[in-house]
Amino acid sequence: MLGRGLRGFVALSYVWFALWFIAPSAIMLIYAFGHTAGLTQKGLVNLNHLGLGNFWQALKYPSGPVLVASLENAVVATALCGVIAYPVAYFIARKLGPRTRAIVLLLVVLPFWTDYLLRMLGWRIFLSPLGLLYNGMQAVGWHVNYLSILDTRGAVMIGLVYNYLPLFILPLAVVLERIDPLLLQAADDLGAKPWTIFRTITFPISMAGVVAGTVLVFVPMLGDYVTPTLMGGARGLMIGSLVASEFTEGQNWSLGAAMAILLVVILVGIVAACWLLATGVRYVLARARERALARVLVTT
Amino acid sequence: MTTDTTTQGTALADEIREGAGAVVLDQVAKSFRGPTGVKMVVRDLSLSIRPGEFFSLLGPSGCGKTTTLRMIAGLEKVDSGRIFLGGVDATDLPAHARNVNTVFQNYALFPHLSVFDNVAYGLHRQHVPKAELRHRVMEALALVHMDGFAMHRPQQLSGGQQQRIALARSIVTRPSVLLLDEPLAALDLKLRESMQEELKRLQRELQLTFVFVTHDQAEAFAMSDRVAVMEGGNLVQVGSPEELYLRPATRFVTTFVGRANFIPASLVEGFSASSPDEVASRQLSESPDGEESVGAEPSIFVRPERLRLEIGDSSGQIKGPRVRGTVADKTFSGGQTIVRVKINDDVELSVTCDSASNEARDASIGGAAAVTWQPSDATLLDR
Repeated sequence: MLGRGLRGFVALSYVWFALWFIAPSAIMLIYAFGHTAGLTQKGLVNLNHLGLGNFWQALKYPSGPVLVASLENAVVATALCGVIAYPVAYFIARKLGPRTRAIVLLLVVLPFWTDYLLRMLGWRIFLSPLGLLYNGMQAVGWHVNYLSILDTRGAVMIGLVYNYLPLFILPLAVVLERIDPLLLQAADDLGAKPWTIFRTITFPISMAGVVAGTVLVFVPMLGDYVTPTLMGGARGLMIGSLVASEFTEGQNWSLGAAMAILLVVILVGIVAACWLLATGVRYVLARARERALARVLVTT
Repeated sequence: MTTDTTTQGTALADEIREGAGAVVLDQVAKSFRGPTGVKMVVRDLSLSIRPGEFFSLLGPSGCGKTTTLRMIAGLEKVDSGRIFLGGVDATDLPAHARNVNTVFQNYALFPHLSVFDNVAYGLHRQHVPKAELRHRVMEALALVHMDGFAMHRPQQLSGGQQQRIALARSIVTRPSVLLLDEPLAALDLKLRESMQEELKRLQRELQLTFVFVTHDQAEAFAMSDRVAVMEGGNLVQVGSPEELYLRPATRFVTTFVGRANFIPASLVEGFSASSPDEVASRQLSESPDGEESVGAEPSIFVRPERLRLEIGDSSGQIKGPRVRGTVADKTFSGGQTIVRVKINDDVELSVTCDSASNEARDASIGGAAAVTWQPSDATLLDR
């Protein structure tokens, strides 16, 4: 079906993908089972004696508790993103005309045009103990000695929500915008009041966007290491920061690789578990309904 | 199951009969603001639809028929005028407070719900108890022969099946009026014809007021008790299909509801008019519609099946107006053959003949022919 040139182009993209994603991942996987080479040995990782030792090490202090804290951070920040993104996306998709909608969507992604570090430093200045926010609070008569937000998990949370919010808003706004207004009119016509229409039609249909936003935000959030490093300092460590430091300062590539693999396994596990749960629940509900209907058919 | 269906159907019908299904529009107007300014979509429309009537709004696209339907449903606010449903002023009621349901053109089934839950939607809003709800949903599905599809998703169904589900969804709550917005437009011809019969059957069984919007005159005629023809936001004529076809009020209605021939004429004296043919001018004095003043230039309008064809130079035994010309075209369409006779550069007449008749057989393109009619079959209309 595709033209010869186009097919070559597609093939090239597979090669690209294999070269820069599959191959590095495979190397990481192998490294995770090795151990750090001694000072006098060649190379960074000794692959002579493969074992699971690095994984046990990754589950212990400090990376184990940090992993748990990272999961907590990612779950809470994703939930916050969802809670903030939904009304914003709803407003953009439903309350704005096509032209204003395009402008507002542009504004949502506008921060991405500025350098990431610059934006994070901006937040540091804003949140610093005697910074802009502090001055603002003084001005409105809310007196504190100094602000202690920076370099805490709270600051990491702010950074995470701020950075990933657009990724939640965009897919959700697209899904909400695509809901056929005739469906809402049909519900209205059948006697549903506005809030009921939202609860029974708009919200269930928009779940596809909520799921997309959750995955899009949660996955990179869990592995993020720059935001916690910049916003959280020593108290705001996340697993990504530890992986990075094992590869750089620690020079323990095999342990870093094991942590990274563990993270991927946990992520895939979470997504798979959620999916299984959702399909299972749906299946059970459908079967229950079918049985109930069968009874109705028999009795009528 | 079949016997069950009919008894259930009549049970449902009894309850619907209690509701008053009268719809009255009084001087209703609606305009939309568009890029080119304010556009009047419906102008001072007054209309009275009787309870239990199959009523059609017929007109070309953009004539305001769908907007009228949406105003009755409450999905569109009126600019001015009042709407009465069952004798009660419903002008300011929102759609969910009106006992009127709509079958939408693209069905508007809820994609995230099963067929059962789609049909149950309106009953849930009325807080119908669970057991009764199940029973009534299955009853409505049986009524449209879709009771085997309760657990399907709308996306798994064909257009015709979705159509039936949309119907079941809107009748299950027992509304007093059912509004149908070109519900058959998306179906192929065969399915459309069987759905027409189905709709008529449902309307009879449920004794429900149907307001049916369509641009298809054959469809409107086949199904309706009365038809309202709309043009450019105005109501042009309301009447039974027979009235519209045989006594159209305007040239627009004439051409919209069927094939028509127009013969330019001029009134010469008293109540008589002259057509391009001398014989015709004398006979036309018998035509009943002669209120024009002398010198006016109306058209004589005759339906193709009321015209009679004479082939060759036969003087003809039939008395009546007669115009002569040449056969321009002959189209065979099964039982009937349509012969087009060219009278002059401006006038061409379509004559419908029985395909088995001598005239149909003898008519050859380029040959001489004459066309006659009974004066009582002709109507004078403004040109």
